[in-house]
Amino acid sequence: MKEYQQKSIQRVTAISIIGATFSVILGFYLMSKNISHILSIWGESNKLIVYLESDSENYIKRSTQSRLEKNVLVDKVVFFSKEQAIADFNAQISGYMSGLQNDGALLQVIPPYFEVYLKTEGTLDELNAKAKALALEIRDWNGIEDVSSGSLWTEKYSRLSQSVNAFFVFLGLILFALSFFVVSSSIKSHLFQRAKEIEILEMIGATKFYIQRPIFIESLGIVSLAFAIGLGVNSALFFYFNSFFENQLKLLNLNQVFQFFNFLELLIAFGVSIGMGLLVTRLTFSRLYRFRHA
Amino acid sequence: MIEFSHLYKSYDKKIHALKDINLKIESGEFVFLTGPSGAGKSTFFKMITGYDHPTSGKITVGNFDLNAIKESDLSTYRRKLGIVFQDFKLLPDRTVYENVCLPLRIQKHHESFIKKRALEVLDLVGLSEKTEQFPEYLSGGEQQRTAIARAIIHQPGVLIADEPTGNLDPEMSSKIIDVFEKVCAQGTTVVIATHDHELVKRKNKKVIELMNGSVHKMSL
Repeated sequence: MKEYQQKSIQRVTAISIIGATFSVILGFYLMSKNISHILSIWGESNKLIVYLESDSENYIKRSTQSRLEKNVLVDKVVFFSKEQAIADFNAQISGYMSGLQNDGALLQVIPPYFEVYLKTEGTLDELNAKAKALALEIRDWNGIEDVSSGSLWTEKYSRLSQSVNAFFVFLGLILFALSFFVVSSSIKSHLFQRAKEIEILEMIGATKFYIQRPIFIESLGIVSLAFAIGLGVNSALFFYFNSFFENQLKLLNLNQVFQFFNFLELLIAFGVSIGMGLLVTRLTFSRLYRFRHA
Repeated sequence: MIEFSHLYKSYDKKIHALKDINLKIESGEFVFLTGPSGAGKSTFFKMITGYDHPTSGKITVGNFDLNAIKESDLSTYRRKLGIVFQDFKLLPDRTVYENVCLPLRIQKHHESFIKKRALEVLDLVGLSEKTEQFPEYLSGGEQQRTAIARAIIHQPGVLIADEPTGNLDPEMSSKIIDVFEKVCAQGTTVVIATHDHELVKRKNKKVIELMNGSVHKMSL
């Protein structure tokens, strides 16, 4: 094969390898970002269910609602009357235990209730603690049968969310180190194949700047193209999965919460990639000179 | 002027490539460097080009003390040299014209001057018809002449050529030596390593004969 063609092939190979690496790491970041985002959205509907006694008077309902609405932690209060509660119960249960719909004694014990939405300020842990404290306080109020804060579930959820995030950070660091290694190997291999050219230029009096400038520019070109490939692949995957969720899993509304990179993230990712390319090129030059003068 | 003073070069403290070399080559002189393979000719050239450093002793080329030359001054020094490598060292992805232009491009000369000089030297070495060819499409002799054109295009102060006629037929050898003599006549110091004893005899120039890393004989 002709040597000048080999050079083009080397460039394409380096772009492909680094492009694949960027695709993986950008894809991983996008996935972890969306999973964390979805977890936080699902976790943020932090609410209490305040059950009134079945036969509670109307003034109990009004006073309870008023006290709830005045509480600084509460964002919104929605009342469900006994009839609405029974209707909801019937709607949910009809599909698989229709016999219960006709159980008058059971339906009679279904109480009216408030859904109390808490303000979503602070971390999941802080919200849990506030919900727990408020639930304990409300239980002592007159006419209250029970309060469900769901704190056990939200605590577990919070721990899950934290674990998932920690896992993503850990895996992200490993992937970043691996991508540095891959980028480094590709650029190193590309540069070492040009060692002869560098040596010739040196021998005829080219300065380091003259020799290194086009190679730095080439490395920047390779990294930029590879980044564009990574971004292109992830854009296509994002579009595909968004369409998939919209058409196949509409129920989960995932297409509405899925997020692509924002401008700042793209800028940082591109900056890091370019920085990596420049650093690797610089280190490879040092190594090349050491290797030759050894 | 090139001056070697008590110059030694050893590798791994065992192989003594050059031993106590003391010689002086005046500016504008034409010198043949002879000797069998392994005599130290390549090491001699490595010393002059600054590609390698002596183990001890001193080497001076013009105003440059190569023992003490800074890395940053090395490129300035090498711009004053013209080197014809034994293996030509042409850039395979550049045409004959582009290879020949390199020393002037590095020195940032104007493109019209570069073109004029390139066409002159390519004509001088008989490669006017091959300017757009890539080195791999050239014969050994043509590649050698390309390397020679590249070495003389910037009218160097010192021209070093390692076996520059090794791949050439006698007629072309003679033409190339004529080119070197013309370059020398313009004030360039020319040092040519060769095995061609006939050529050395015929030209009647100064000869430095190396043997086992030492100067065996020096004759005018």
